[in-house]
Amino acid sequence: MVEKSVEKSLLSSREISVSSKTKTLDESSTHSDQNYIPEDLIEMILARVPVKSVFRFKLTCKDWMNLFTQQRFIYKHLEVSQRRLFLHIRGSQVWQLDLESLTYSRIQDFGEEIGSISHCDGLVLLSTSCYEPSTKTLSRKLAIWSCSEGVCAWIPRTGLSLYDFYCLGRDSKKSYKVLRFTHGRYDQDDFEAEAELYDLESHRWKTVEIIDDWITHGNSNFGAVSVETSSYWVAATEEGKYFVQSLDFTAECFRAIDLPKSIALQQARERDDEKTLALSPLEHQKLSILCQIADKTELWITQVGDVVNWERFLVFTGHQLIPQNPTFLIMEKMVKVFCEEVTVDRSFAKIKIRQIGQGGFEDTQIAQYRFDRHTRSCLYTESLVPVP
Amino acid sequence: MSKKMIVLKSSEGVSFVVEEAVARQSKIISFLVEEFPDRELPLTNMTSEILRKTIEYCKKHVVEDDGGGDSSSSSSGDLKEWDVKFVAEIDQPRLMDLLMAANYLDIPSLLDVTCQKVADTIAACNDEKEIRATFNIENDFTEEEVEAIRMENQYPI
Repeated sequence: MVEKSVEKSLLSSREISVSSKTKTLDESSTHSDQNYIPEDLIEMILARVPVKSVFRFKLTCKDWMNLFTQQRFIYKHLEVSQRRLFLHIRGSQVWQLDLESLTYSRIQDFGEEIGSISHCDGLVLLSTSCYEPSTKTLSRKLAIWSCSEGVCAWIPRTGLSLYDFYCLGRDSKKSYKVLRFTHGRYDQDDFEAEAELYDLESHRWKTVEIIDDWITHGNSNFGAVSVETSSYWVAATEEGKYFVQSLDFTAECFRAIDLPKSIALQQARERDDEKTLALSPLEHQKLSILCQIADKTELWITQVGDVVNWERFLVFTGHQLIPQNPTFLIMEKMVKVFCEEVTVDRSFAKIKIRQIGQGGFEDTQIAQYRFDRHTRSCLYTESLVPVP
Repeated sequence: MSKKMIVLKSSEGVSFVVEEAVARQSKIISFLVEEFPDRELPLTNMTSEILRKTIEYCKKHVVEDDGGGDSSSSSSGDLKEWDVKFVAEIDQPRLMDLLMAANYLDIPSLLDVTCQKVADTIAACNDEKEIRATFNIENDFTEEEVEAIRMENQYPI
């Protein structure tokens, strides 16, 4: 009698978390009947299949194809798979460094010099520039690109300035938006700050209020990172105190985040060249900041959202372990940094992954090529999110 | 103090005596032993073979509560390696059974490694045909439908 009730409660408690087809669970666990796998388990498995395989195998059956285009599944896949890569921008070309296989390959050529890059949920925003000899001006263009799917859409817009900053983000309704802001178009003697948002669904630009009492760090190497529904970048107040500036894509407003004192205050302007600051997104709605001053590097992590609470995660010493404008990725108790090194005679450049932990560092050389210009890199997460 | 044991019974009626701490990695068993202490738990939809495998996994993953906090019996790196080997040695049909068992008993980490292994198997397939053969999936597309979809969106990758 009691045994029976045990059995019953076993089933009833499963019904809470398993799909409505629970009744077949009883029969399905012997491999004589392996045809039936509950739908939620199929989803759980397919959420772990790499993006490229999903694209290759979407014609397996209708259920799979339908699943692969459902928004709910697309975001579940993004959350579960978290396969991160480095993108490397060389002139007009985009190269990809796969951290698992350590393969380095060219994946796209945009035909025009790529100026800036920002990433959100597997979508990439790039700005390209093209010199027009007739008017002796540079014309800038913006594109949204899914490098997993290989699809690109140009954003119609004229009058983009070299003094613009761009970043891509997502609001709470999963709508993607582009932020454009400038502290002033100095080439046109225009010292007014302005900010705008472009909604990729409605294809409209709208003005956002910007209070211009700060400057963006890194200038031409601007790199914002996106975590959940905000984007973040390093900025400094007019007094030279560093902080993280962010834009909330849902509320459509800027929000400043204080940094730990040891990072925010140290010799902000006078010894700028010795200080390297960079952000990187982490899983589970976290943001990290790396700060290298002379031979000391600190890594701090915080949850993002209403409460920000920086915690020191890793400290290591070593002279110039971190290159300028670094792209890095935190994995367990390690940090992987994308490094480009140019030979003294500036004829060749090498790229490598530097893995730094408490016990020291280790370099893995990836590729070498003829050097012609400095490049930039960006962390990228593979995803099924389609170009809006 | 001797360790508390519980009895799990497979669909064939075979009893497995397991340390309670080991079995408690299953959230369902953990719940049941509190509700029905000193009872043997019949798992009527699990074969002895799958139950044995599940217990083997739980034994390896049990966190020894020796008062020193969360010291696991193995380091996390070793454990990951062990997991990879554990699922690699299981053939496809039994892997699916183990995955279903992990789901049924609610053992999140076992569900994760089995799902990942199946996902890796899918990713390693050469084409849709191989996936359908491996997982017994029926092709419900007509040739015309396949052609139409291919024309509609050609992925360059």
